Amino acid sequence: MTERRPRTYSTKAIVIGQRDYVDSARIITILSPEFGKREIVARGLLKPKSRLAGHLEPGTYCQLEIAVGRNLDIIREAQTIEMFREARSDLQSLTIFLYALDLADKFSLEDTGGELFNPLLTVIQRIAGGYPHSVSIRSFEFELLDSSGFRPVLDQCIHCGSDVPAEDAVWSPTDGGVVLKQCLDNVQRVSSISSRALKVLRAYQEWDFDQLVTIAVDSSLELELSSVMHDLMKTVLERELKSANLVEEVRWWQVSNDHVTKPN
Amino acid sequence: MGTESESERYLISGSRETKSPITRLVNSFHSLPGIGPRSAQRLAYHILRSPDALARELAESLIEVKENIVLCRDCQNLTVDVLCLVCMDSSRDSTVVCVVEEPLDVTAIERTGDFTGLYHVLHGVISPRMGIGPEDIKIQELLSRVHAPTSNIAEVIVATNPSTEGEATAMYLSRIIQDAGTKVTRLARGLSTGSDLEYADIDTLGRALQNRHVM
Repeated sequence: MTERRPRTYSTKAIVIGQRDYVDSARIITILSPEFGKREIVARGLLKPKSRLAGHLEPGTYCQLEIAVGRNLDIIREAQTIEMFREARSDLQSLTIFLYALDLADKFSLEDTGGELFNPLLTVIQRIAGGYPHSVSIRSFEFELLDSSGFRPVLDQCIHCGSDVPAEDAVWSPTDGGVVLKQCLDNVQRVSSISSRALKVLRAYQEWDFDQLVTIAVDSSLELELSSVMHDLMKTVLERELKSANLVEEVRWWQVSNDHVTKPN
Repeated sequence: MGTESESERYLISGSRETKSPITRLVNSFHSLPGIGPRSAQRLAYHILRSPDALARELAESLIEVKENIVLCRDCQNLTVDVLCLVCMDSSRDSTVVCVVEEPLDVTAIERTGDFTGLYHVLHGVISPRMGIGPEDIKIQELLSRVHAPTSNIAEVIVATNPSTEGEATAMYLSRIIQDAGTKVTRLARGLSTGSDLEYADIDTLGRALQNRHVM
């Protein structure tokens, strides 16, 4: 006799997004350690008296009771474990928070990506916990790139394999790393990268988080790092990332208040 | 009818007769939000069985809506004239503008009868995951309105939904509008009428406590 599939299951998960469905129902996208990324229906979510709505906002870490459905599974109960209110308290934190959720979504396919749950939870906790946003999100980006097989090459020339001094490096997001100036003819798209930025990126790739928070990163360097990494993430994902654009726009507002010239 | 059911399946697949008017009608209904293939078939066959007048009225209404409904020059709400009825009403308080996500939100606020100012409809909310950035909704139009030399707007009430994207949009608007020296306020948040504390989420309950008032 074959074993019957259970009709309900429970899991802890992070809500990474919502979209419209029929009537007041919405489709919730969750990332769970056991099931990876999964789309589930939440009925009546748009009704004012919905008991689920407040527990299923994007970025909420929650405990879910789910009923197996014919096409999509259905959320029966939801209980917030952590809402990360601090990460939603100001525009800069919130945009980085949304960017982290967007990356987790784009780097995982349906029913895969369970291994991204802990890195996502960690980065959200760090954003909410007051750690430097730049370090938190760069570490997360490197974890995503490593786990998906797109680890950038930052020490050797991606064309000839020679060691690349930070001062002689040119950045190629399409080829996924740095290239020596004499090898420029052999790579597709290149952009400049300062030696300071490259040294910090190398540290982000190799060092532990506790060591990374000790690195002093000023506003202009932070903008350059953000621009380089966002370009790389868009190239790897082969799509525009509106969340990255929003992070840069809001960060630029902050920096412009400090009278720093915007890099071209 | 067995033959009809087979015909329906045959038509929705469109493999042999993609240009059939019924197939086109079924597929048109199916392209609407919330209408699945079965519902699309039911609607299409309902139209077929209905009097000609119903089909004609439906078709004319669809064309009329697409041809005659435009966005209000000022508030971006749906209208048939250059300005909508609210913007044309000189008795409304033009110093207060309430910013909402969708045209239906205007109707919801109007139903309260408590708001006498003007509106601005964003037609969406900043939702980076869904590919919607600030440039994709009517934020620039709102800024032009607030910054216009003739503007007497003293307060902008941000009434986007109390969701994560709604909050992000509200914070974004607050940041860019306050630069112009205009007061920006946000709708209060807390427990809804008839709700139960036991089932309230942390955020809602926390905000209800923060926004408590003396009785």
